Amino acid sequence: MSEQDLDTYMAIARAVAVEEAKTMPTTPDLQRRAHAIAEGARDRLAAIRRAERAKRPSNVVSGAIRDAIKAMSPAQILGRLSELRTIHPEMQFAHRSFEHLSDDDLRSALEDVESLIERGD
Amino acid sequence: MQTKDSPQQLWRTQFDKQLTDTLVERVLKQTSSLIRQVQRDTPWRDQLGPDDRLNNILMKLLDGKLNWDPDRVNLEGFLFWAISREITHEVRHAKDFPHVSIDDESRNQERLAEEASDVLVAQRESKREEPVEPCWSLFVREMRMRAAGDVGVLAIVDAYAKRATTRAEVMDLTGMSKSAYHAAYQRMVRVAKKLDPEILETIVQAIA
Repeated sequence: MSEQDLDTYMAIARAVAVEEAKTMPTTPDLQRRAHAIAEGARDRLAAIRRAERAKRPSNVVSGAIRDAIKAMSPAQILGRLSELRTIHPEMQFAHRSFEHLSDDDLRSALEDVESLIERGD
Repeated sequence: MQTKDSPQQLWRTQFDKQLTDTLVERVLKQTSSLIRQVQRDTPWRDQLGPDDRLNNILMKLLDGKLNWDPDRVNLEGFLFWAISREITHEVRHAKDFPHVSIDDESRNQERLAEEASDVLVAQRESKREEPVEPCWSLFVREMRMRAAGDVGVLAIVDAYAKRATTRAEVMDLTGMSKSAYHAAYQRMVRVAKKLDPEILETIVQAIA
């Protein structure tokens, strides 16, 4: 009974907190703290994704990727792929999300897309 | 050929979309309010603060120690619920002793000390093995009493007692419409807010 009451009490307190939060003023300090926490979480997720990509084996044949793409960072490749997806909505991409690909596979994917566009396919 | 996104990819995509500075601000505000209420109504004392609590939950989620289903609840609701669950765990294990709030500035500090001392003496003299009814039980009992006759509010409180946490779960359990739920929810919050300053008195009276 006490456990049930504690759950009930906490649910009521949560409801009150959600409503109270709506009328609380936002201060520059709160904004700064919120930004730091959000940035920390984004950084952490990016690091996890990088680590996962690095662990995956690559299917890329050496020498098949142009130097310009080899020199790009994973973030730049993702940005370019996103840009190409917008410019060429008619293209069918093998992956809806590239986050699970290794860095080499990402480069290979971009090379494939750039080559297709250059050939006018 | 398109590949189907895995559950992990799906929640990460939703995480990317929903995690904004504004969302974090709202959860920090909600957590501050929750900490204030629970410290006032129970013996529990916060040792972390809202920032660390939220940050810890985010890290647990990202490290796979917590599971979030974006189809069931949005990120804001999930993060606040997870923080609240950790506080609930701490409250459950907090030392069980009568609590007299020092936050209420309207109360004379000497009188508060006397009340606390009286309560402890009364408890010692009672020589009861079993401590008094937990303060949250008194709160819920008082809440039900104040809401007596309000079927909607009591239905929500009953749903909470059955571990319903989200609006959808409460509506499903009670059979309430969206508008009926919303109106009853607002009434419940009003009753709870009105009850807050009086709960200490209730607890002290119940113990004495």
